[in-house]
Amino acid sequence: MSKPNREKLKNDINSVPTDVQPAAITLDGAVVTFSEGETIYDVAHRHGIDIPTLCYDPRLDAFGGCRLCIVELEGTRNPVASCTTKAAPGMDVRTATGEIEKHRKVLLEMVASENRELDVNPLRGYASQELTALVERYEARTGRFNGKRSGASNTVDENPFILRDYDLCISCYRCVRVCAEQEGDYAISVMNRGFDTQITTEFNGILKDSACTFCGQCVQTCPTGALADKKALRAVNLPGEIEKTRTICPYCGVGCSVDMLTKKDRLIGIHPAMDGPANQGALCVKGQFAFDFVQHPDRLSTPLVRGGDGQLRGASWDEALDRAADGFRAVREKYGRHSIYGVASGRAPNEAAYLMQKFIRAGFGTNYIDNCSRA
Amino acid sequence: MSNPLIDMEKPDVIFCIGTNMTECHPVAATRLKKAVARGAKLIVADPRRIGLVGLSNLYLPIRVGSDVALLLAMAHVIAREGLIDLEFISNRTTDSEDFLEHVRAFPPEWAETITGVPARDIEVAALWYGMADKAAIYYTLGITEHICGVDNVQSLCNLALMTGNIGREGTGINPMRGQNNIQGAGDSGALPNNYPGFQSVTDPANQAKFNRLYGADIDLEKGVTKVTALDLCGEQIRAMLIDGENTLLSDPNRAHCEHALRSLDHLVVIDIFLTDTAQLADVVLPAAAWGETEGVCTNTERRVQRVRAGVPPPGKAMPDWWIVAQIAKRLGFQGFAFGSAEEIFNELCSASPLYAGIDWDRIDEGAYQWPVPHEGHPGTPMLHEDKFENGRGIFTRIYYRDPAETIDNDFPVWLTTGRRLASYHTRTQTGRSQGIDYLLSEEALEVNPNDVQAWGLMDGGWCQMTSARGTVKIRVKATQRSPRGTVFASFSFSDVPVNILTGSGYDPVTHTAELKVCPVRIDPAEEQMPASH
Amino acid sequence: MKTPTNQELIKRWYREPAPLLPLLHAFHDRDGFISDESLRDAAVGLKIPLADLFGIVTFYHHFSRNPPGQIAPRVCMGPVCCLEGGKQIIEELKDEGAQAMPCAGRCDDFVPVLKGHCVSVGVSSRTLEARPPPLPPRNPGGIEECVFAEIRTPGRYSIEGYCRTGGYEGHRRAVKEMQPSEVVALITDSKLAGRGGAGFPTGLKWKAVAEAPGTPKTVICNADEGEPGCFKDRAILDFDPHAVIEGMTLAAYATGAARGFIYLRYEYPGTFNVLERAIAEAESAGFLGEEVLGSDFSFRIHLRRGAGAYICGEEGSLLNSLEGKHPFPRNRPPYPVTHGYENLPTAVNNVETLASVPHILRNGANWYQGLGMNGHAGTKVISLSGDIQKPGNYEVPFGLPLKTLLYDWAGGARENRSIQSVTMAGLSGGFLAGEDLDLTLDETSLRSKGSMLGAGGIIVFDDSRDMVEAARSAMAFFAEESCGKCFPCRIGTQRLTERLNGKAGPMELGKWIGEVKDIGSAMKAASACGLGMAAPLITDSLMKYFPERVAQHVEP
Repeated sequence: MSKPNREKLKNDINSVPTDVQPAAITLDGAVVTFSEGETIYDVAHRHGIDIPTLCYDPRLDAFGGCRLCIVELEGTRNPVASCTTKAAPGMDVRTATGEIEKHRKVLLEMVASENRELDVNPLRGYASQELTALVERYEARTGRFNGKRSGASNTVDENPFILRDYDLCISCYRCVRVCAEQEGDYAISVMNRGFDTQITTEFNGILKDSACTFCGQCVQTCPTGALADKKALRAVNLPGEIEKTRTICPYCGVGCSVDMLTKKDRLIGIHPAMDGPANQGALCVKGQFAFDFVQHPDRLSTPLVRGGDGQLRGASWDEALDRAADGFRAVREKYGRHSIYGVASGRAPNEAAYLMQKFIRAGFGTNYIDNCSRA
Repeated sequence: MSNPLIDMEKPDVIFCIGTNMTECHPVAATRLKKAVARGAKLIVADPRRIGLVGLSNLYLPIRVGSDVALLLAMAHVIAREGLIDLEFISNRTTDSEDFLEHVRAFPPEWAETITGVPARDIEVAALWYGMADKAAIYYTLGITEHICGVDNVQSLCNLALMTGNIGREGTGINPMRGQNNIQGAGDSGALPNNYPGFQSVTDPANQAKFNRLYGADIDLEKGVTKVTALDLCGEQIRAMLIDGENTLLSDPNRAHCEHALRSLDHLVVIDIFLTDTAQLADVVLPAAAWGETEGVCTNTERRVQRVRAGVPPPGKAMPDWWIVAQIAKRLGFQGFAFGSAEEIFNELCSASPLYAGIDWDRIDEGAYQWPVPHEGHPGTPMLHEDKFENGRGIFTRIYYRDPAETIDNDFPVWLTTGRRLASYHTRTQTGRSQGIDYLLSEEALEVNPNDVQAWGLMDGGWCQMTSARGTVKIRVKATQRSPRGTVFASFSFSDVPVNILTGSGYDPVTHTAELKVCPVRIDPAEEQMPASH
Repeated sequence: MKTPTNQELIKRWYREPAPLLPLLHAFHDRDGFISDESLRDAAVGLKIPLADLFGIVTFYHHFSRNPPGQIAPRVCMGPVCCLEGGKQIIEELKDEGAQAMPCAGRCDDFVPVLKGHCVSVGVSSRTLEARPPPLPPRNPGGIEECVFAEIRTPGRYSIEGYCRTGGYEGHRRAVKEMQPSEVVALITDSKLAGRGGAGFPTGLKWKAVAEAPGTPKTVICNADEGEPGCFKDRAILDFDPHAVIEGMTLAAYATGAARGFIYLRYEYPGTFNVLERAIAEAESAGFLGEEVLGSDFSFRIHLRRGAGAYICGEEGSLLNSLEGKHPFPRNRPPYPVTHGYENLPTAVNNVETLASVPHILRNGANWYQGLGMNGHAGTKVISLSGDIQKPGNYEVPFGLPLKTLLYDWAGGARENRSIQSVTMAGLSGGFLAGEDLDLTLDETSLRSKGSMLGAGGIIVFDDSRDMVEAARSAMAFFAEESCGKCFPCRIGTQRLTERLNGKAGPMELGKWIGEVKDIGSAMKAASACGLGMAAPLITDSLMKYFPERVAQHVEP
């Protein structure tokens, strides 16, 4: 959702008609209103209360697996998961009592105890630092609860996009759920049960033999980096900080928002923009992984002009632009203004198309301009 | 699209025709999948068993190029069963009586003989579409790349108009645009008949406006389309400036295209790679690519969004707009002294009533969908809500026509062309991205397994495919995706230039080529690398 | 008969309600295992994503994907059987591919071994024999029973025998003479409550389903009796199946349900046959089907068989399992009474609860209430097993002193032994020992000791048993059966098992206790369902009653 829309939503919520008693709950002592269908987590989040979660992705149905978001609800024997509990009038909720925070720390210590390592490179994926951040926040790197580790990495799958380091998996099932609910591909699922739970594909095979379309959504929602972006990881040893630039995917007309990841002058990866107005975080294989063309050695880096030998050769901008302009001038003089035609690109931004048509219309006084939409 | 992308989750009935959405617009398809998961009914009409068919509740396997017949029969059923929205028709449309009379002559039994789709399935599709509270149509080039592309689109409009499925949430007629800024190119006026903002070039008021704006005398006549221009190359047309299009591979009838471009006195190509097309140019100018340039693109739902530069362009490469402006300046043209993309975009906004309410800063978060007629306007996610742009929706009498070429003894097989998930257009971009080859390393002709056997081919072997215009060699892939008698290939691989074969005809109005229908002959071939020409 | 093809089996099932489990069983029964090809065909035929289907099959204990599969012997290694020779039988049958299975619900008999569709029992592999399970013993005091009142009458399992002893009278009366709301009111007045362990008042549940919007509504008999040391549902279904069917039809009439399921655990193949026959009998007699007894009430019962997953006794998991989904528990609320099978109103009732209903219809609410002692209403079947003279299913009045059951009814410990400890609620109530054995069998009394009655399984450990080992075996069961959905249970049961088997964890008592307590309280507070909440009662009670033994285990 874009920011203006979010503002609008807020206004809608706040502009409850005065003759209707707004539905309200007590949240950490403060009376706050909520709208139909909101969970306790939603209401708390809206009020800036940072309830920890690991299995939560706002785009997916609430799952209630990690249990970190438990809160105390007056009148219930046990704490409730705030992500799955809908707000109801009169609820009295405490989000961070000593008891609750203790349980959260223990849960994080337990999760930390099943993983091979906590510190993973942020290039692994959009959400890859979530577990590490929570473990730091709750000072849960205590080494308690040691024992068997869970998950077996898939070393057979040699696909070039998605690393399947399941020994970092904490069984939050965000990958399985994003593949089903968000992508509609149902390529991955859950095998076995309990501590032996393992993320899998049909017959535990490789992704290429499954329904996977390599959209990379599983990678980007993974909170531990167990699923990782192999292409971005190529840049682990490149110098420089990771920077992000918001832009729009260069492929089809859907116009998905993405963040380009760069280190110095290198384009190293793509993150989906979770607040992208057209895609809300979704991407496909092209938008997620097909970006190497930008800095490919085949790129034209200098103007070319056709020499007397009939071959194209490198030239300065001045020479090339002069040749280009001279050619148009000569043709116009010889054959008239209706002898020159412009074809604008459907890939380049509006400014290019606009100037192309202005070039033809204002420059030659014709409408001999088109774009490549007919192919 | 008449409706926003988010609306794709909301219809009760979804009618997809001529769109391989899961491969060509995968992210849009995810929204349709959500609608289906929620219980919406999906009708898919396509000659091939594309991915959407697996999700569908009803599949209409139409013969290539027979869309009009199908849609006429659906209109017939909707009219016959009284499923028309009388209130909508009387308030919002004209010429309905004539149209309703017209469709009486086209029952599903008639359409079955042309489309090959059982009449009862056509009935069901019409009933579902007609009875739905919210029914939406989605299509792409499978509708437009025909000699009857306009007729196809108008047939879809007729269905939407007669049932009032337009101008409301979860309804509409929604073409999906194939390239990231093909919508923007049109918005910006790169069309022979329209100024920026789709203002007609033959309207005197518009002519006066642009005369004044550009300070130059401008043509009072429409220009010609690119297709016509290619036909006129070497005769009337002597010079071309082509920005970022690999015309040779993407356009039909490659031999004709290549001949046309070679016959020019002067060809200037702006591109990021030395494409097949660029190799014919007199001057090749290196452009900054995506990721290297600032600007604005408009998506298929008319959303105006910023693209930004994250890395510098290689060597001397420069933004497209800079290159065009430099040529213009050298020709002495006025009005090209731009210092940034921002200045150009803001001029476009001042020239286009659709963009009148936005500027560079206001679209920073992509919150606007045009038209945005004035500052403070929130944008228009849904078109035609209260009225149509031109007053009333007009019903059109459409008649079925055969494709430009139909199968016969010499060319007994229908070839249809398209795109694949992992490759984009002519693979200048995806072909140069590491890993994509893992998913799709070469082109193959999709042939029904029974045909593979009947035609003496081998799955994984080679065949020779010939049309009236040429021959290509291509590997054979046996698959149930192709029905018997119809084969499919994409035009993405330069070593299998299927557009040597295509180009049998063009839509008389839009000059869009009939890339979706091409009768061919298929013969077994020896195992060898395919010839490139 | 010709072996059916995949397509024939799919055609047989795909239009039926809840078709996945019976289709998978059909493959399993045909081939002895479920081949990849069968799964591919099932995915297409039932429109289930193949990856999901694969994951679902791996979830269940008893589905094999490879030969020898179903014909390999599965030997019960429940808490009683592993004391009574289960380990030895597995060893003896190793060559046949014998595997352990969790408690198979024959704890009042010798060790059960499941092979294909046949259960045999024995103390060693040489003495294995297929024989009917024992009837529930009578109580010595002649205390009036409800569920078991007629169960020992010969022929009661058949429809003739059932009708001879008053069967279907309540059903007939309800359909002909009572409004559905009157049935609900009667059950409400009787104070009958869920006998599967949760103890939710049955009348209230039915009222909620009756009033919930949405049709068709569903009644489900939860016969996935998986709690170790619980075998009462099997006894009721084996000897009195029509009581359950009649109970279900009354539930359906009261709630307005049109379809019913019996979800029976995999390990009761004989019971499956009994039920299949009983349902057919009830249909031909006009008690089930369209327009029952000439009224406008229609109700059908579909028999479905689980495939070995304790969690499927949890109603959310059971519903997901029936619907062909991954059998994780569902988030609550919403509850099944409004969002149950296929998200429509559903009454999920335990076998014993349903079997009580016809008796209440016949004898009245006051009669049922009066069966309890000291102000408690009604009766409860207790499955008593382990180190006890006379194991078996006993129907006790609520409020009966535990020691009366153990010593007066069941003869106390075996010769020269004394009772060291008992479990409650199978394993889910943890252990009780010492003075805490002085209690009465009702939830109030048990809750005061931090335990619960649950489904009514009591396993006795005499003074020869190592209670750390008993706790380890119990926790290993919970770890094995944890579904993997929620973190506290998935990791907690594993870590507690490791701390009980000495394979991981601190070697210093204070730290050991600290870890075990922290894990336990997080599990109790945060687990998503009863499994994770109950499991730490094992370690809590172990530390409470046997601190020296724990100290010796940690610091030997």
